[in-house]
Amino acid sequence: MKKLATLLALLLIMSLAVPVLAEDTVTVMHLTNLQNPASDAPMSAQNMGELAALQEFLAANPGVTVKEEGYSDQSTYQQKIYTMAAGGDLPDVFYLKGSWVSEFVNNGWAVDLTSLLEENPEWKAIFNPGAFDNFTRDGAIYGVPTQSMVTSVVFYNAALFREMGYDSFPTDWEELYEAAAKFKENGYLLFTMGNKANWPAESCWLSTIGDRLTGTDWTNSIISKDGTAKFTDPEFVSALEYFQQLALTPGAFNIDINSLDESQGREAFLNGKAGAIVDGSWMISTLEQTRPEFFDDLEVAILPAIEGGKGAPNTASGGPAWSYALSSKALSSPEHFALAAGVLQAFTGETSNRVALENGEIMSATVEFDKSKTGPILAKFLEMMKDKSTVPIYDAAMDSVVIETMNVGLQELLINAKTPQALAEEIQFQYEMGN
Amino acid sequence: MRRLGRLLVNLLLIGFSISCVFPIFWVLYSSFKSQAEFTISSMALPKVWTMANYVSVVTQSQMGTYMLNSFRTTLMSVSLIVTISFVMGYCFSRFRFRGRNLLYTVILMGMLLPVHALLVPLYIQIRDAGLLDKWYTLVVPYVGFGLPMGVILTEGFVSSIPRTFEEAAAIDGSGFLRTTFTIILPLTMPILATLIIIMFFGNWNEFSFSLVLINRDELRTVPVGLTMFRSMYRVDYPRLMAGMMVALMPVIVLYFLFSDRIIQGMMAGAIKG
Repeated sequence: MKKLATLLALLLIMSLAVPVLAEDTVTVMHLTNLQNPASDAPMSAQNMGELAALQEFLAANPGVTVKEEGYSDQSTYQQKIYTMAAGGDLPDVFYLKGSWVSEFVNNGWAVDLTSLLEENPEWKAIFNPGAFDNFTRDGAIYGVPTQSMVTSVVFYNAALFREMGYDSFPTDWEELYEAAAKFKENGYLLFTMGNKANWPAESCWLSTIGDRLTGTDWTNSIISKDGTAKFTDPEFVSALEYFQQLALTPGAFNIDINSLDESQGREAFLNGKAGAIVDGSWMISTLEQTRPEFFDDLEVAILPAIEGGKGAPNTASGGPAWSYALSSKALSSPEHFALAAGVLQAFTGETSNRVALENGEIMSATVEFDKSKTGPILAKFLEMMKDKSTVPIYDAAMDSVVIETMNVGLQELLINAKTPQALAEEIQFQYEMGN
Repeated sequence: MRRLGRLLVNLLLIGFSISCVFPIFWVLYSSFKSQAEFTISSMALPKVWTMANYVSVVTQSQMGTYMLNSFRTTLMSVSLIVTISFVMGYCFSRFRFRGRNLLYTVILMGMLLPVHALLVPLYIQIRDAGLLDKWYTLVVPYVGFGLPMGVILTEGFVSSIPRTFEEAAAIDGSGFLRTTFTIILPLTMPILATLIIIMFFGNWNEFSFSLVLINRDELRTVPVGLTMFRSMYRVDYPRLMAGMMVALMPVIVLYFLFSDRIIQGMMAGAIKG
């Protein structure tokens, strides 16, 4: 009797353990706070778009389950996705960063999406020109872009600039040196930067300064590794020189550049002690929530032109850094692939982009949306960007080892612990090692 | 002169103490700030004290679940580590057998392995064993990584206990198991209490395995849960700090309970004759 009871109990446990199979399950892993109201009090605009699109998808595909796993912190997500990729366990749909693409493609972790996009021309058509660049290798597209950004926006305190005798932000690089001296005389800083995490100097500054001097063709040659462009080219070295010269000009920056993190670096600007900060477009929502005292005088601009440079003067580094991709797991059967592709299309489709745009996100697709909802700084920013174009963001487009060397080296460059030539050689060495 | 010297030494020590304790106070008072106020000045005391962060942590986050998971995992791991360590440490210390030194060296080697080098291989092993993403998953690596230190600490401590205890017990007619668990075990309390504290904090704060081996939100532990307070380009620091304070409270309570036990354990270890 006792044995029978044990047997029955065992059977019961086993029957509970066998999962009830739905028609199909699509697994998704991404950077989100969809599942976690904990992450961020107001859900990010992009997540709102994705949520709306996902609900549409689920309504149109009854019986399909979408199993989401969300992380809201970039480095946490990176550690997790890399481990899963190495273990051959990627989810069907995942969030892919531009600088990871080469690695994911070389290891066969990401699926070529070119034909999927060709088959759905109305979907492909909503994306801005160049939006796929960061996710394309040898002509094949591996990721569909989501939010876009400009990593090099000059936010400046127009009131303080007027006090120093400037009607607007300087449009010529040489003026920055004079401005720094003027600000210093009056006890202010021209710029403030928190570069402890070491990417801001490269992502927000060098990507744009570099393009001013080298031109975009050079950057594209570096990205495609065709062998013509080198980091030791005089144009790139001179970009490093310009950046270093500005950093070493008294009054141009805070002296503790490398000790402050990004939010600490912003304090001097928000308190009105520094005239400007060069930060990404993601700073807009923070500014609109924080509303510093000079909020009405807060203006936006791009970095000034550099005379003699090969690049266009009306550009700022920007573009999409992240995309949605499919893993080889999605290829298990044609039906499963269709569903996974459906989720991918939902996340990057019209609804998703429209809702995100309406909530103040800058996306890589252009769709109709209700413009009355945008905040004042975002409106100024969109207006300012109308006649500007974007150039590649170094850390979104180049390989991560090269970027790491560049980032660490820039910290030293900015405090005069390394010469531009030496840094250029170091980066070039890493670049050649990776080829 | 001597007084001045003492004053200087004390000032230096007070300085060090403040630098240790200040971050905790900073987290505490910053958790009562609003995000806007924190962005403008991260170090200043809050102008307006607000409970909003705590309300949102308690009502809107999964902090309770994360803490429950951390408690369960830590409790299971620590009890296993302490029990197995004691038995192994005792045997290594009291018995000389063939292969003892080799075995002991192998266990010692466990302390030399950097955890991150094992992340991917362990992930694959645990996945293939079908242990991924279960409520007990994390106990496996935690016990594995905790044992070397546990065995070494107990082995060293038991070696310092005179064998006369066991001899006296044997003369009085106590068997092996009884001697081990009723006479030697209480004597090793100080080292076991130390071990419990080290392992408790190690496992409570462990991040990498918890991130990699657990997929479901309802099984996540506190350190991974805390990253959910960050978002891609923005961190609501005051809210994150409120989350940290909530997560810290039970640990602080436990710490005081156990630090008390250490002293008790030391007294109990004295020979009563």
